[in-house]
Amino acid sequence: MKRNINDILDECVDAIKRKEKTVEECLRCNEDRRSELEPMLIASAILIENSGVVPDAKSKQETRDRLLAAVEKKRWEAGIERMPLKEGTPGEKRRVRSATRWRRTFKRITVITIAAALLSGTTLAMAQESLPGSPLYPVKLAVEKVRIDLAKDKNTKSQLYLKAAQERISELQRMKKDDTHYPELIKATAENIKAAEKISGGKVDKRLKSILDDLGTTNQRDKLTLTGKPPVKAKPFQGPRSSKNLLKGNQSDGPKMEPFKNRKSTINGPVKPRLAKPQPARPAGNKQEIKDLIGKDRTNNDHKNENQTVKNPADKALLDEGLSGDSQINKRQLDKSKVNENQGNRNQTHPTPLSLPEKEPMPRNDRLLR
Amino acid sequence: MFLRNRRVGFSLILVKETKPMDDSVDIRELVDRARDYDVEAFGQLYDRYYDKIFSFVYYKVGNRFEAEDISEQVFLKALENITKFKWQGTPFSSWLFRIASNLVVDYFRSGKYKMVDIDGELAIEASTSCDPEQSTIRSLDRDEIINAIRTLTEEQQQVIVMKFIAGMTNHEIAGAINKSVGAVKALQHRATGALSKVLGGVYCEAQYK
Repeated sequence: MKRNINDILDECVDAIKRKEKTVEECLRCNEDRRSELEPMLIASAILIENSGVVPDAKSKQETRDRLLAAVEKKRWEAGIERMPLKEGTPGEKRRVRSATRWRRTFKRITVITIAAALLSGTTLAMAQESLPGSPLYPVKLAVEKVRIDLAKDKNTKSQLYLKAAQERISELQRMKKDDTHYPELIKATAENIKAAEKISGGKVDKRLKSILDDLGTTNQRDKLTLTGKPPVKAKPFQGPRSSKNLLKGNQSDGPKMEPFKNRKSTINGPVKPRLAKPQPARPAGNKQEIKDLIGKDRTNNDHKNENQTVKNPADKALLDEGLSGDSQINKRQLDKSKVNENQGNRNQTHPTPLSLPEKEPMPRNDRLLR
Repeated sequence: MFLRNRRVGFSLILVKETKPMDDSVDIRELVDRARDYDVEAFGQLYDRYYDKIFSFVYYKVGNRFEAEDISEQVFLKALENITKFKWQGTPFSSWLFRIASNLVVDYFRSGKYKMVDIDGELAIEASTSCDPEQSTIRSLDRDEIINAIRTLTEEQQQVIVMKFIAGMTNHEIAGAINKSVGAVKALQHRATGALSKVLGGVYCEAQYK
């Protein structure tokens, strides 16, 4: 089988390179391919002969030094522990064993993490006690917001909003009333309660709901009443103006009027009279007419019983405004039947109170803390 | 039939036998240590391959100073990418020569090509012949050879320079140019045939020492 010319040429070239054969000897071994091989082998011989290119020794050494310096630098950058170079090695210098880069980095990260944890714990504790105006107060609000955002179910969110509202209330208690942040806190309390109500679908504690209503209706009240404590400025109710005479003079005849202190105050403070519907004019000094008009007994039980409200606005008006002179006395002379008719669980031992004309029941205009 | 050189006095000088660049166990060990930026291992690899790389680059660019610069760049690039080298059946020498080939291509693309400085070559040339006239002829011939090699295709140039100048084996050349051994032989055949036409002639076979 005829051999491939490529293989023959390759074998001859390798033989010439190894100086095993000359060009002529290779041609003699392949006489049938002499004409084809001869020019190629000659060219190969020329190439082999001229392969002795020797680089400049000095430049070669300088290049070596630069390269090894670069290797050294790479080794430092990689953080690999290095053994001291042998004496006479180019670029040898004094060095110290060092920890690997990743070990140093790991240590730094650990220290920073621990420090951050310690500082964060202290910061959070201080922030919890801060008040509006304090630099840490935004941290406190941020923590509350994050807790609310992370809450999964609605109940938890609602409870967290209520908790935030209670926290605002406690802040209000600790702050002065003339503080610039006072109104903002009240607004924030209302917002938290509204949010809780919205999330829970209206199922909010009644007490807090009442707080919300009060915050919505007025913001000029004594803020301590938010917690249910009686207002500082509240004075014992002394009944209508004429009740003083009643108490002094005819206590056996008239209804027993208990002092205001036994009556729970409203969050709105002293009860203000509502505007009653226009009543027919009562002639002054006409005792009989007053007697007719007043058809409702008023006793102390109205004030005692929290559940019972004054249905008749006229009664209330009389209670609040007070009656003057004889008309007050006439009140005490109410028809007993009318008293029994208009009142619930009243003390029947009391004398017949004044009866007031029956009117349409008015909506409740005051709320009592329970 | 005697082969005569067209130039008088030209003789075939025995070339110093080059150490084959194979990937034996010691080479593997050196490369593995070099991956960890072992200075000594990298120095040994440099000593083993620098001359071949330099010869290869010199015959490609035709300028000694540029060849030195590019040869240094070859080893610096090898240092940067030594961690990426994997033993996938390709010799380490093939990987080095591939880097050298790419840098030579970049050199020509950058337009830094310069003519061969023949005077400089004569001053540095380490003559292995006792006849100064023959040294001069050899350097001239080298210039002629370089110009003759440039007439070949890129792949033929790669094979010729790696095979005859750098002394690489067919397996190493195949790994460097990403060809099969058979393809390398074929390229060698076509390249030598083309060179024979360019170089012309015949030469007198020298006496062996």
